Amino acid sequence: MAASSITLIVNGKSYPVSVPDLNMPLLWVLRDLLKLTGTKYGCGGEFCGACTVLINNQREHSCVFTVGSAVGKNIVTVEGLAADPDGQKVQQAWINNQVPQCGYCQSGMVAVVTGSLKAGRHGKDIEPDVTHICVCGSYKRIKDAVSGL
Amino acid sequence: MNEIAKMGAFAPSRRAFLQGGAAGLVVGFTLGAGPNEALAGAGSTINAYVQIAADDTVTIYVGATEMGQGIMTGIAQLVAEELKLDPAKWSKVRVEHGLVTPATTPGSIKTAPFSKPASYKSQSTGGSTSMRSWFTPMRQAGAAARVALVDAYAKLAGNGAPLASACTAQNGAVSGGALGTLTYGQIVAQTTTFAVPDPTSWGSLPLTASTDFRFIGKDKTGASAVPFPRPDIADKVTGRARYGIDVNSDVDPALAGMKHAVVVHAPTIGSAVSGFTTPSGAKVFKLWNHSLVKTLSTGFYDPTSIVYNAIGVVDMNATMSNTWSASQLAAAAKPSWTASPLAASVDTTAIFNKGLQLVNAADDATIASLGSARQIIGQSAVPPESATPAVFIDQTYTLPFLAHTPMEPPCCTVLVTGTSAATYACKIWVSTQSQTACVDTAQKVLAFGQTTVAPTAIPVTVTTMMLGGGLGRKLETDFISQAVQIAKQMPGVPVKLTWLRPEDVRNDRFRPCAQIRVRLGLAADGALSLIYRNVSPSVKRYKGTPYNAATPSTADAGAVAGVAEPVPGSSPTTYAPPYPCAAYRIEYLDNPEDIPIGYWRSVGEGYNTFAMECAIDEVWLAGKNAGLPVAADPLQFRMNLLASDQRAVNVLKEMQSLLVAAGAPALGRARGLAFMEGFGSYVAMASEISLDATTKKPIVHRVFTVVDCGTAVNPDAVRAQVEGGVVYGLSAILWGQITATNGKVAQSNFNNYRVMKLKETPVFTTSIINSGGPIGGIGELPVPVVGPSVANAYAVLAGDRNLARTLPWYPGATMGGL
Repeated sequence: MAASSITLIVNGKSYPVSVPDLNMPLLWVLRDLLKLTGTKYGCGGEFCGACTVLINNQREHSCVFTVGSAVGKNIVTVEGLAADPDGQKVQQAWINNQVPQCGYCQSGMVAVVTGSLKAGRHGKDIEPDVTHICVCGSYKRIKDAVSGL
Repeated sequence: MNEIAKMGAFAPSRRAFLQGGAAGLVVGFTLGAGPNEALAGAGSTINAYVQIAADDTVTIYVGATEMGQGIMTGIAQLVAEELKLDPAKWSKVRVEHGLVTPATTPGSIKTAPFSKPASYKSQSTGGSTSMRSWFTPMRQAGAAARVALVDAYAKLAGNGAPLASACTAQNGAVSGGALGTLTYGQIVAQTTTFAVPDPTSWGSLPLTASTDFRFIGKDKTGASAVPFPRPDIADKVTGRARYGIDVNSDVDPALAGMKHAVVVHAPTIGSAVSGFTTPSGAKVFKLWNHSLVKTLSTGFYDPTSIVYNAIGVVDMNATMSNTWSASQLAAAAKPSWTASPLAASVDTTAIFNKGLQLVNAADDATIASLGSARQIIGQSAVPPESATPAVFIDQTYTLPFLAHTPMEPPCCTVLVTGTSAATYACKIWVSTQSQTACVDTAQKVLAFGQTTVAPTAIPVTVTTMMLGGGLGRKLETDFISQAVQIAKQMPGVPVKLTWLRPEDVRNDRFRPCAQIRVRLGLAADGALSLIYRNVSPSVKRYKGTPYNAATPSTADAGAVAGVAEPVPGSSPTTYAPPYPCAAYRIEYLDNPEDIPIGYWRSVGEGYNTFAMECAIDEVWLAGKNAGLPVAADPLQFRMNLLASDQRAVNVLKEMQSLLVAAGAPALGRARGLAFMEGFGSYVAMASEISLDATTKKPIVHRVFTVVDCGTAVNPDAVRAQVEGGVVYGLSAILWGQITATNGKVAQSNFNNYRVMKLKETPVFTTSIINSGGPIGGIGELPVPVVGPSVANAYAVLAGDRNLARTLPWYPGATMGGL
């Protein structure tokens, strides 16, 4: 492993950071090195979606997206969604519908649905994008929430 | 009732104290202390607080743990009701997990509550007990605070006690005296002298009549917003909520310089570490198997029970320590392992085969030869063999081992200071369902290796973080033990230990498998006779947690919970089936294997209710086919059997109405019913299914639910628990299955331990009956009934039940497939 000093653009802000390896998944850079803990670890293998962030407005699984390939791109995490009109809409819909239970998977849920809005999908058409896992079973309320978006 | 339920059924005995000044009015009290404990002043056992600040915020510090069930919100509604707060100012109400500390410092909220007196059975959240335990005590605490505020107002107005009776509290303010209306905040800003009613008198404080409730039970109407949104939700959609896995120096500056660690368990359950290398930049520690640790009568861990079954690998990088690097270092550590003496035992095929032999064993000698014994948990005076039923079913239902898979895997952060048991101090930040077990485990780990300082003398502080799911997994303390073992060897350096998902799935404390044989007879006059035999590994027998360290000879009534229900008022407790039976015997046989097991959301009911509710449908059909004068359908059949229980009848009637209102199911679909009284509540559930064109197995489209939990304090949270419990229950019956061969667990992640996704989620129709009966639980209630309702629907559609008696429906499922 070779340490590198890089700069990441997260939620519109520049974060200079030393990483031990450019192959390190972005998830752990965000969580452990930048202390942006809103993005969650759930499986490490792209099965659950809890780690979803937006990179140049595309949804990505940060548990496998290497930090090296995130350099120079616009990374938006759950912490930055409130500053984004689409993200704000999604968060408000989540609150109005009282979606989360434990809430652990919801950072990824909110991020992926924000990505859907940015891709021009609305209402029920968003549902196929939500392939994420919520062990609490908040899916019914997610359906309710996206139906109004 | 089950073991967890008993554990959590606190007998509230309170001691209260009062604190004024900068913190505002603080009413502290104790729940769960022994009934004979003497009242003291600002004692050492305060474990719940209501705090009112000058800015009118009301903060409630509680011992119930928030894991998504909404208990923080429900408890806040209870206090707000009796404090007579303004429903329009709900946002002024906050709830936090109380801190667990070894000693109380009166007046210092953040460092005071939640110590653990010897008589305090357990501070734990499980068994759907929180609302049952706290419904009345939290209301009384609110009422006591209200009385103190009115009294303080009267004193400020110069009239003292005589005026107090003329003053009224409403909408978060007191009025009636010369001062006009003062908000609670204005009162606490002006005085530090409060007279909180003596806690022994709290039982006689007037509580709000249910007809006057403004907080409790209030629901949205139509499309309106819920009246009391959960205060934790905004934080959970903005990333601000802090779970155990999110702990870092932003949570507490004491964690500056925290190192990240991961665990690698032996690939075979029961193996021990035989070697490893220590990569540059890492520290590697052998960690012992918490499941096997025994406690001596002296309170210390038995050193002879220590088996090192894992390594903990810490990334020691000065500035870049992180979880991923720790996992890379763990791979480089290349641990090697001894052969496991348990390997043959930890084999799910062998366990199943033994279970089937036991469930069919004709005599006690055969059972003894298989290493088990019959525990007769309940029986009628008349032996069931003497019954002469007109029809009779004899069926065996089998259920697999299951994993919990909370979205947040086990994770624990620990800072140990000091260099020996005499000087150790330990701080823990963790998502746990049992603060008591957490403290107990940490103390025993820290006391290990010497015998002069007792474990209980070692100070341990626990900060409870949000739980990313509990489900029973976080009642266990194996991960806490490991984190403390590491931190103990790195004094002064905070360490966060994270279990990556494969470690979680493979090293869970699994829901036991069960083979259940039901012999159920129906007489011409409608009387039931029952011989029920459950064979499953006993969680109670299984060692390793401080709260269930029972001796193997102790009968495990919890293993047949759902079918063996305590007879109200019986002493010693006797058990009877959930449907009145003219003659019955309920047997439990331990399947004596060493696979790690634990409590899983819905505990014993999770498997027993499946078998019983399937059997009820089966015997009804047998009666119908034999031309007996049975009820028109399984719903009416249950209603007739339960005719003496009005709450049960009402729940079933409401279900009948829901189903009529929904109209007949579409062609190719059918509905099946299940019913349960459990966790202090009643539930009826009907699932509407079709059969998959290829597999001919169920697809679940709709789920109708009726619950009566006495009073639904927060109806929206009750609906959320129904929706979530159904999804959790469906995941289990459709796909859930842990298999192990020669000690190796086959499943490792969500790609091979399949759980339900959005596209498979059914449509819900949920009705809540507020019967006003005793407060019941809700978190586990929906889980046991969804499985039998699907099986019963399947029997209608398929015309037989052969595939429906063995779970899961889709064994070996992966991410993409069914």
